[in-house]
Amino acid sequence: MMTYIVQTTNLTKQFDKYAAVTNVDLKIKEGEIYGFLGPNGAGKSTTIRMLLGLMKPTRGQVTIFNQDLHKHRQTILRQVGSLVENPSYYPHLTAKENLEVLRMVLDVPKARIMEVLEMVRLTHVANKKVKGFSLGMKQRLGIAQALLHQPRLLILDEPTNGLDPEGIIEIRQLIKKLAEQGITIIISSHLLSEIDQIATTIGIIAKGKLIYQDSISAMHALAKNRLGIRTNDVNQTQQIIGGEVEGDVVYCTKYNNRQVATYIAQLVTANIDVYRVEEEKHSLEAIFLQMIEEAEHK
Amino acid sequence: MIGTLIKAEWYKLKHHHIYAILIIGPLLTLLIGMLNPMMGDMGAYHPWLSLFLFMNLPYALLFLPLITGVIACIICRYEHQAGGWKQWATLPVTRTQIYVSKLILIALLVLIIQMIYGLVIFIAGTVKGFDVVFPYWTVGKFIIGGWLATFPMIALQLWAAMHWRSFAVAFTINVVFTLPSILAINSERFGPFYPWAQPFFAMYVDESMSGMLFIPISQMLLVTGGSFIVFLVLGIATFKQKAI
Repeated sequence: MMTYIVQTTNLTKQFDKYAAVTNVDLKIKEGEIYGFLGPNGAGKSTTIRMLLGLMKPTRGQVTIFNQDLHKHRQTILRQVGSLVENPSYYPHLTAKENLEVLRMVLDVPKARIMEVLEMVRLTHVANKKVKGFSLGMKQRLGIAQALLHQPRLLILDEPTNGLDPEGIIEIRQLIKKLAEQGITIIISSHLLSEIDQIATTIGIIAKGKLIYQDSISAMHALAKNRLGIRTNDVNQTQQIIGGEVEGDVVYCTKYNNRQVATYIAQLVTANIDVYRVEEEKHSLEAIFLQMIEEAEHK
Repeated sequence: MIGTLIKAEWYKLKHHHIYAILIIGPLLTLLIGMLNPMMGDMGAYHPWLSLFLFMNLPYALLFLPLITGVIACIICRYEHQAGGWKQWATLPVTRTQIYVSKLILIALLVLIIQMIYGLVIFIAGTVKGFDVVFPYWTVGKFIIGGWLATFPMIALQLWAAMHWRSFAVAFTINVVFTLPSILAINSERFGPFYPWAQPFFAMYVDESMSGMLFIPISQMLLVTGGSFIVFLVLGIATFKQKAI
């Protein structure tokens, strides 16, 4: 049996009549960067809140490090760092003091404070009150807070929200570096491009349901381009070049320049009128949108 | 763990001018006591006793409960501001520990206020040149008794301050419960059962100056202890269920 670092079974959260999360089965392996993708309001934050015990599930189970979250919450949370939605901080305290408050409870060496500030490049404002920070700086402080106790699992909910492009790149590099050190990272976003550039596995949630969960390469495989050939005779065209028929177009997925030339020559020889030969680029984005759309119309 | 949490809570109060808040109640009381023109006409009475009479009333009935509420609000305010509850709740501690540590810190701060009040009384009497020895035992009794009597208020205030983001709402609740004490103490029937009036009873010095505390132990246990436990249990239960 495959063991997962985070696993949820039938995780469900019901608010009165509205189901925020329905039967979500997350399966996250150790060392992965798990991209948790979904439109705003799809249930990402609700799921993450349940992973951290901030909210009780209506039904279902959360298992982290092979332990039931409900029973071993404290042991589990000792090894989990998180940044949920907006960064949390005490505005009247400085960056260093904000970390010190957490350090006292987490019981880690004092030197760790400057280490994490260095990691998120906030050392120059260590003694400034956080209320004067820009959103990007607050976000980076949030990540520093999450890293303070060297967690095995890092949960980052929309960590690049409100960051400028430079900041986004910086955070992305930091996340990659942390993953290289063996930390398992769950990162949520509503932007596919964001997840695509960083995740090793992807989970897509829409309307509270997990509609896709696989490696990023498997998702890329879905995104293969195809060649569409429209002629006056669909059936005969298919007999000659193979592929699949969709309406009045024959699609084939394996082709190169040489083959395309051969196909056309064969069709012309068979006296078939070729109207269009088009390459259809099926982007990851299109697949994502299609999945979301299908989920929403169900 | 609770000890660490209390220390962390105290650390969070940095830059909050908490000392000013601790000292304001006793100082206002001193002002009122000193300004009271009747103070001078009490010559025939025990001087300390008449001082207690004038100062304990506004202090125990008004300032002590109100300031207790303010402290509870402050201790929750910074959690409401920018996701503090969320962060605190993802630490490897239980919600009960979080709640109780806040409660204990408030209680400790109120104890400091009580001690400052004791000091203020001592200074007031000394400055006035009272020729009778400072009644340590009596003062000690009403300081501790008054302190214990604030516990139900602390529990209810913490509950309210945790529940409502708005400082104004939590503070209004505090005022709404505090003001009727003025009526309650005049009622022999309801007074002894009104939790907000308990600090007044606990700090009311009668001439005999006898007993462990100034109120019967049964009343202390039943009214103060009972309402404290009810508010505490309800507060913890609410906090544990709360989706953050």
